[in-house]
Amino acid sequence: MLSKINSFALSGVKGYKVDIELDINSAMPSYDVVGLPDAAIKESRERVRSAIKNSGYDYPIKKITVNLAPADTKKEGAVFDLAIAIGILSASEQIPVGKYKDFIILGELSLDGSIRHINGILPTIIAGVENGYTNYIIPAANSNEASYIDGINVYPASSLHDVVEFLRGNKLIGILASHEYTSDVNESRYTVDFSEVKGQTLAKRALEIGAAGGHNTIMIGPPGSGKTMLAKCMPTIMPSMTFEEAIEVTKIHSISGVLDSSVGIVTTRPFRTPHHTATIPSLTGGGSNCKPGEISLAHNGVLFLDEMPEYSRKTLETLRQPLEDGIVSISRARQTLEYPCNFMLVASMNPCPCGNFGSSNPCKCSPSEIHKYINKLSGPLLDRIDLQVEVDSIAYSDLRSNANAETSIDIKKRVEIARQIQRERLKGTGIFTNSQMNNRQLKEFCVIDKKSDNLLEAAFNKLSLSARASTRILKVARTIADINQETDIKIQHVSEAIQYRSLDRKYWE
Amino acid sequence: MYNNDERALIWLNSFNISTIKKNYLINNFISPYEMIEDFEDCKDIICNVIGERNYSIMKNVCNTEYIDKLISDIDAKNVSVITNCSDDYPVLLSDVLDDDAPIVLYYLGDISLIKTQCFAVVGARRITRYGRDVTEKFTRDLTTSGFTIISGMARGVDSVAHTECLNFEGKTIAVLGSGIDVVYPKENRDLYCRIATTGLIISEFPLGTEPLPYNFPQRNRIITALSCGVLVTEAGMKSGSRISANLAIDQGKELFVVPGSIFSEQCKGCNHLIKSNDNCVMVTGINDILEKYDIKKRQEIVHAIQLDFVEQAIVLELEQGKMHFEEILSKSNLEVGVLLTTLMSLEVSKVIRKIPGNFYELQPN
Repeated sequence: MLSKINSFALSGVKGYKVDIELDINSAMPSYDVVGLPDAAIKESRERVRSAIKNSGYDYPIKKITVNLAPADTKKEGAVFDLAIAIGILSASEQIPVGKYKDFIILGELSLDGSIRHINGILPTIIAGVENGYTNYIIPAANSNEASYIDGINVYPASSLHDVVEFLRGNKLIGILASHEYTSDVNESRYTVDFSEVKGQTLAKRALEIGAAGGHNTIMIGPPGSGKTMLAKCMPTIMPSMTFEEAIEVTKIHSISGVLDSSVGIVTTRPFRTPHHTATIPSLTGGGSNCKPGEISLAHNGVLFLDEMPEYSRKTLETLRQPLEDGIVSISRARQTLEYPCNFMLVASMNPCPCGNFGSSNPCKCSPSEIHKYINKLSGPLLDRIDLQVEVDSIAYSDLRSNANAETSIDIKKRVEIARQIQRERLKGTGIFTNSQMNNRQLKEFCVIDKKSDNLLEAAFNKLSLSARASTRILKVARTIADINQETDIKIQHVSEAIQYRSLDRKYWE
Repeated sequence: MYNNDERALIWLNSFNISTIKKNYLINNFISPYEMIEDFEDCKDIICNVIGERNYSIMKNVCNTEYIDKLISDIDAKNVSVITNCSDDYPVLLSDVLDDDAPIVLYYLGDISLIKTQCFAVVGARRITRYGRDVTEKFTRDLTTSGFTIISGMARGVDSVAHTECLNFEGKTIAVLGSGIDVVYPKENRDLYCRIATTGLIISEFPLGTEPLPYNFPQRNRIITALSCGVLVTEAGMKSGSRISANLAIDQGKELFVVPGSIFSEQCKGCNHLIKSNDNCVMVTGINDILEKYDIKKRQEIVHAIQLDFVEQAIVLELEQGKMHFEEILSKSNLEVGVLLTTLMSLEVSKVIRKIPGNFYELQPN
C-alpha cells in the first residue's frame, strides 16, 4: 500500500514542503529512505520500529520504501520520524486513509514512542501558514513556541500512541490556545541594572545614546574598569521588541536550538558575547549545514566583543559587510542562505597592551606598541563604530555616590521616546534609526547652524580629528537632540558628540 | 658629475671602515684619486692602516665599473653627495671633528641650510607627555627665533622636534643613523618626505646601510658639530642623548638642559646632567637660550581669551593640576551635556586639553 504524509523542512530561516511517500511491498523485509536523507534520517528506521512496537502497534515485516520529495534536496535531522511512523501505520492499514492528509506532521520519536522536542518549529509553521496549511501535529514540548501564531490549529502530541488514537478518532487532542505577545516589561529578568554601576557618567551616557540611535559603540578603558558590566547592562535600556522583531529573533534561535522551550518566544533582546577565539564561521554562520552564527543570533540585539583587538583581524573584517547591510549571506558548495543580522555592536578594548595607559597605574608600553595595538582595528571597521568612549578606572568611578544613579528603566524611557521620534522622522525611508542614515538623509535631517559648523571646523583643525569623523559626529548629534526631544541640532549636541570620538583623536601616542 | 677625487671618496666611503682610518688613509696620498691609482703599488702602506682583510676586499672592486655603479645608484635615488674635497663641504664639520669628519655626506633637500644657524633639539626616544610638551614649546620658540632645528629623526623627541618645526614653517635638518634611502623608524615615512622637500636630510652612511645600534652615537657627533647649541628636552638615565650632551661639551658647544620631575624615570638623565655638569645650562624658558646668543629677548605673548563665569571656575580648578571628568562634574554641579559643551569650547580655544582616561588639564604654553 502507498501513503503520503505532509511535512516541512527548513532551509535557513525559510521552510519548504516535504512529501513523505511511503510504500510497503511484499518482498524481502527491508527499510530504505531515499531523497537525500542524512545519517539521522537513515537511522530513523530503528527509532520508528521500536516506537511503533512499544506503542502497541504492528511493525510490518515487509519491504518499506520511504521517499522524501523533493528528492534532490538534502534533508537533515529527525523531524520526519513521526511522519514516517504514521505513514507506515497508514500504509499497513492500521490508521484509516485520508484523515492524516489534512495535517502537517512534525516530530522526533523516542524508542518508547514518546515524541521529542525539535528545533525550528516556529519558522517551519510560519512557512506552512504561508503555503496555506492550517492543521499541525507537533511535539508537545514545542507547544509554547507554536502558540504565538494566530489562525491555525495546532495539536500538541506527546506520544505516538496519542497521535494514532487521535487519527483513528478514539481520542481527542486539544487545540493549542494561542498566546498574545506582550513584550516582556518585567525588568526583574535582568540580573544587572545601570543604577548598580558607580560613576562612569560618560560611558553610561554614550551607551544611552547608542541604544537610542542604534549606534555601534566601543569602550576603551583599563582592565577591571567595568567595561563588561556596562555592556551587560546594555539590553536593560534597549527598547522593547515588537512582535515582528520577536518572531524574527525566535526563528533564528529556534533553528539554532538555543530557544528556551518553556517560554517559546524570545522576548528580551539577545545579548551575545562570543569569545575572542571565535572562528569566522562561528561568527558569521556556516559549517556544512549553514547554521546561523553569533551575529545572526544577536539579530535585533547586542553583539558584545570583549577585548576587541584580541580577535583575529580576519574575523573582525568579516563583520564589515554585515554591519553595513544587516544581512549575511552564507554561500557553501551545496547551498546559499541568508540570515538577518541587524545587531548593535558593543565592543571593549584596553588602551594599550598592558592596559594601564591613561590610568593611575604606570603604563609599561612604548608609544609604538600602543600605536600598534590601537591600529589593530582597521579604519573601515572603526568607520562603522559611531561612539568611542573612554571608561574610567575604578578610583574615579567611586567618586560619585550611588544615590543619584539612574535606573535602567528611567534611561529606557528616554531611549523609547528618542526611538519614537526617529521612527516618525524617518517614516517612508525604510530605516528606523539615525545610525542607518545615508548621506542624502544626513543632509536632510542633520542640518546644523553656523555656530555649530564653526565649532565642528575648529574641532577638526585644533583637536586633530580625522576626516572620517564628521558624518559620525552629525549622526550622534542628531540622536542626542532626539534624546533631549529637540527638533534642531544645537551646538551643545555637536560638542557632546565630538567628545565621543576618542580613538580618532591622536593623543593616543 | 663628480671629479676623480670625489669618485675616489665615494668609493672609499662605501666600505665599512672607521672614519678616522679613512681620513688617515687619504692623508697618506696627495689626493684621493692618487690612492686609487696606486692602490696595488702601495699595498704595504694601505694594509698598515686598514688591515689585510679589508685590503683584499677593496682591491677586488677597485675599478671604474664598480665606482660607476655606486654613482648610478646614488643618481637613481636622486641623492646628492658632497665630499670633503668640495667647496660646499661644511667648514664646521672639518673644524670641529677634525680627523673624524665624514669624508662624504649624502643628502636630500636644501644643502644651504647647513650654513644657517642650527640648533640641535635632542632627547629620548621614549617620552612622556611632559617631554612632548617641552620639546614642542622650545622647538616652536627656537623656530620663530630664526634657528634651523637639527635632530636625528628617531622616535620620540627627535620626531616631535622635526614635526613641530615644520608645522611652524621653520627649516629643519635630519641627520640619519642609517643610509639616506633607509627610513627608520618606518612610521616616520611622512616626516621623512616632508623634511626632504622643505628641509634637509643628511647621512654619512652609504646607501642601504641598516639602522644598526652603533651608527647612532656616530651620527650624534654630526648633529652636535653642525649646531651652535644643543638642547636636551627629556632623557632617561640610559638615553643616547646623554652621549650627545657629552659630545656637545667636548666639541665646545653650548649645552642646554630642561629639568624634569625628580620622580619621573624619564627625567633622571636630564636632571643628572644639570647636577653633575658645570658647563650645562639649565633652561626653563626660551630667553635662557636667547641671552647666550645675544638675541633680543622675547616678550611672552599672552593670548587673552574672554572666559565666562563657568569657564573661569573650571580653569581655576584645573590650575591645581589635571582633573578627571567626574571630579569636574561633581564640583561644577553642571549637567553632563552642558559641562561637555563648556569643556569642548575651552578645548577648541586651546585653554585646556583632554588627555587619555577622561582627564582634563590646562594647555601648557
